[in-house]
Amino acid sequence: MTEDAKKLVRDAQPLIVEIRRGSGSPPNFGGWELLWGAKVERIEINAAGTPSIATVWFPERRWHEQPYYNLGDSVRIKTDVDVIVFDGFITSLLPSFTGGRVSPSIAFERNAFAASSYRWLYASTSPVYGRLARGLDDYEDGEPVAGSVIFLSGQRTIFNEDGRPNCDPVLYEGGTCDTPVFADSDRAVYWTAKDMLRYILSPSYNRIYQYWPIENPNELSGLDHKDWQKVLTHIAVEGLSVIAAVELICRHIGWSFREDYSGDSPELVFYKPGAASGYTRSDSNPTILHQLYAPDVGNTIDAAVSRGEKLLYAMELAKDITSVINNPWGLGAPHRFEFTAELVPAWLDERLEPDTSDGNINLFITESDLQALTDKNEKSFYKHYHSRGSEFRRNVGRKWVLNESGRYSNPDTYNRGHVFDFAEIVPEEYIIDTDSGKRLFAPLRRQLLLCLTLDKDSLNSVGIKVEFCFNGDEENPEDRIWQVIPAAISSLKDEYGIYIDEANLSELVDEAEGTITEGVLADIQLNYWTSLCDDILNERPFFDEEGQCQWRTRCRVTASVQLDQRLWLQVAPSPASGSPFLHTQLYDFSEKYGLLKRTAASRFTSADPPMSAYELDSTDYFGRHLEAIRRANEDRSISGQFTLDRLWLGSACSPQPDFAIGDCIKEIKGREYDLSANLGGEGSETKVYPEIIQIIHSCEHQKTKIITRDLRFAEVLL
Amino acid sequence: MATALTTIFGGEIKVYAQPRQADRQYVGFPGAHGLTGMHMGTRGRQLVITGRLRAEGNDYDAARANLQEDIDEIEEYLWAEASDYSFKDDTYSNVVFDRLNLTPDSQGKVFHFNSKEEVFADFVCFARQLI
Repeated sequence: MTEDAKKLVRDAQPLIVEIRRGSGSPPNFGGWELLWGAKVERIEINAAGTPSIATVWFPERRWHEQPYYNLGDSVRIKTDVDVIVFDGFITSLLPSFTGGRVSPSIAFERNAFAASSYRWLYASTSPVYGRLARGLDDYEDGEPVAGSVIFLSGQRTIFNEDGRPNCDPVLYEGGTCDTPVFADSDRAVYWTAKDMLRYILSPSYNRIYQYWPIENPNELSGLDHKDWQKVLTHIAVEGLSVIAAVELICRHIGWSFREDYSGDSPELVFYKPGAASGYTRSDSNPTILHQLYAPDVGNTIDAAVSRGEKLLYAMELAKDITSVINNPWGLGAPHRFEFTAELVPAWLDERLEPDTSDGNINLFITESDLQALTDKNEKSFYKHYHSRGSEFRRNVGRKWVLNESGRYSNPDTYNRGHVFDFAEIVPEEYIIDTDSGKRLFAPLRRQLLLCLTLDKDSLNSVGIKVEFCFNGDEENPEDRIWQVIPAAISSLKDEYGIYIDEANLSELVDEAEGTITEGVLADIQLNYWTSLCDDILNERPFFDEEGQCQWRTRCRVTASVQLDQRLWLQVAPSPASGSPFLHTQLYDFSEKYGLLKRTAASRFTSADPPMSAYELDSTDYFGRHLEAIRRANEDRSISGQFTLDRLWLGSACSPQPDFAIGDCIKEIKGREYDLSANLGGEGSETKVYPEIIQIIHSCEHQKTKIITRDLRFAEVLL
Repeated sequence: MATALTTIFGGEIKVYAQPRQADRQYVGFPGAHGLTGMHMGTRGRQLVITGRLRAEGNDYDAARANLQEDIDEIEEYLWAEASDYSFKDDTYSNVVFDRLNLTPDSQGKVFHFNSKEEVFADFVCFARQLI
C-alpha cells in the first residue's frame, strides 16, 4: 500500500482524543478513555518555557451543555497509528456562539476546551526558592550522612553567588537520584550548568512528580554535551518556576528544550539550537535537518509526490540585514591600578598656628589633661584644632590629598606642587597614547578604592593603607620610617585623599615614643601634631623652589584608583558578513571584563613575604567574546513560516511526528533555495539553518505550519 | 423502526437519493503543474422528496388554512434529530431534513383550488442522509 505522503490525493488524518478523568485535589487520574465526538481544531507545539497548547471542540454539542470532562483532566491527542502528538491538561473551557446573519450564515455554537502541556503544570505548581544543604545534624563524625539534608528557606537560590562556589562536592543521595546541594563557599565547588539543572529538576522541587516523574535529571536527553560542564556564576533563580529557571540556565549557555511524547508522561529533551544534523532522529541526535520541496517552474508535481517530498503549500520568508551586528564594540570596566603615593596637606599653612606660649606648655594637650580644664576653649590647641573646639579649623592637620585635579597647586595659596601625574606610577602601556605620546587621563578628582592586594587569611582586600612619617627630611628615602598610627581615618568622597577623624591630633603618637631632636620644639614629645608644628615653626616649605618636599611630617596611602580609560575593543566584519555596512552594537561588559593591576609603585608589590593581589587583564577573553558575538550575528537573519500541504504527524513505520522543535530547515528543494546562514566567519565555515521554534498542526485544514527563526537569539557560549 | 415518508407527506410523493459528493480540498504550487488533493470525506447523500400536498375545506380559505396546518406539521421535521425513514421498499437511515420549498406554477400560483373543494400545493423537500 502506498504511503499517504506519496499519493496525489492524501487522506485527511483523523486524530483521536483520549482523556483521563481526575478526582480529588491534587487529582488522581483514572485510565485513558476515548473522548467521543471530539474534534481537534489546532495543536500548537512550542519551545522552551512556553507550553504547547491544543484546542478541541465538539461539533454535536450546544455551547451551554455541561461538558463530560472537567478542567484539570488529563488529555492526549494521538493519530490512528498511536503517534502521540500532544499530552497535557484541560486548562480552559471555551463555549462560544454567534447568531450570524440570514445569508450567508456564519452562525455557530461551539463547545470547546483548550489544553496546555505538562510544562504549564510544572511551571504553575513548582516554584524554586530556598536552598537544600547539609545542616549540622547531617554530618556524623565529620562525614555527610547519606540521604540527609535540610531545606533552608531563608537562603536564596543563587548558584555560585557573587562568583564564589557554593556547591557541596558530596552529592545528596536521596530518593531516585543523586542531587548536588548547596554548601558554604569555604568547602564548596562550582556549580556547572548541568549541576544546576540536576538540582532544579530534582524530585525535591518537583511538585507534580506523581504526574511527571523525572526520576533522574542527570539522565535527561542532551545533558551529556560538554556545554553543560560550563560554570556559570551568580545564577539567581529564587522565585522563578522550575521551568523558568531551566529556561534561564539554558539561555546562558545557548541551549533550549522541548517536550517529546511517547509513554504516559512526556520526556524533557534538551538540544542545542543550530546543532541539527542528519536526517534521522535518535537519542543522540534529537534535532535533525529537513528539506522542504517547492516544485520547480513548469514541472509537474507527480514525481515529487511519489518520492514523498514534504511539499510546501505556502511560505513567507524574510532574509534581512537589519539585525546584523558585524562590528560589535565592547566596553570593559575602567582601568584600576594600585599604587602607593605621598599625599599633600589640604590646608593653608598659615591656618596652623602652634601655641608656643609659656615654654610650649600649651603646644598640645592630651585628652587626659583636657579633663582637668574647666574652660578648654581658652587653649588655642583645643579651640582651633580639637574637633570639639569652639572655632574648630576643620581641615587643618587632618585632610591629606593626592592633588590629582590640581586644586592645591596654586603657589599663592596651598602651594602643594604640581598636579599628581599618574603616568609616573602606571605602566606606560596603559596610560600613554602610542601615537600621540599624550597621557591618557585628565586632571579630574577621583576616589580612594580598596587595594587589589589580598589579605592572605581572608582572601579579601587589605583595604586602604595609610602611613605617616616623622623623619621625611632624610635624604635617603630608605631611611624614612613609615608607620601605621592607630586612628580613625576616613577616605574622602569627592577626591583622592583622607581625613583624620581623631578628635585630638596629639594622641597620634610616634611608635618609637621619641622626642623632637632640634629646633624650637627640641625635646618635646614627638607626635603627629608636634611634628606638624615643628615643620611650621621651622618655616619649612612643603615644596621648596626645586619642588622638593621639605616637611618632616609626611603621609602616604596605598590604595587603588580608577582612571579614565577602560578596556575597549571592536571586532571588524569578516568576509562572510551578510551586510555591506558596518553594523555596530555597543556591549557594556563592565561587570565581566577589565584591567586590574598592582603597579610597581605599590608598597605591597615588593612586600616580604610576598602578598598576592587580585590582578586581571581580560583583554584576550574579551576579544574572544566579541569575536563570538560577531560570528553569531554577522550574517543576515532568516526567519519564516512554512505551510505544508498535509499534516506531518508520522506514520506507522515512523511512529513520531516528522517535525520537532529545534529541527532546522536546510533548504527548499525543487527551487534549490539555500537557507543556510554563515555562523563561522573566516576559516571555520560553520553553517546554521533556521530553527523551528513553533509547529502548528491546523487539523481542521489538515495543514502543518512551521515557524522558524534564525539563531542569533542564543547567548554566546565561549 | 423507520417512519414511512408517506405518513409525513402523504401518498403523492416521489423519493430519490443523490449519490454522495466527495469533499476534497485542492492545493496548487506556484509555477508547477498539478494539484494535490486532500480527501476530507463525503457530505452524505442528499434525499429529494417531491410531491403534492392536499387539504379539503368548504371554500378556498378554509381548505388553504387546513393545508397550511399540514405544512406547519411537516416543518417541525426540519429540526428533528436524525432518524430512519422509509418509502416503498427502501429505508433511508440517519436522515435530517434541511429544506422544504413550495413550488409555484408558471403563473406564480402556489395554492390551487379545485372543484372537489380541495386546495393543493406542489413541494420539494431536501433531506440528507448523514451516513
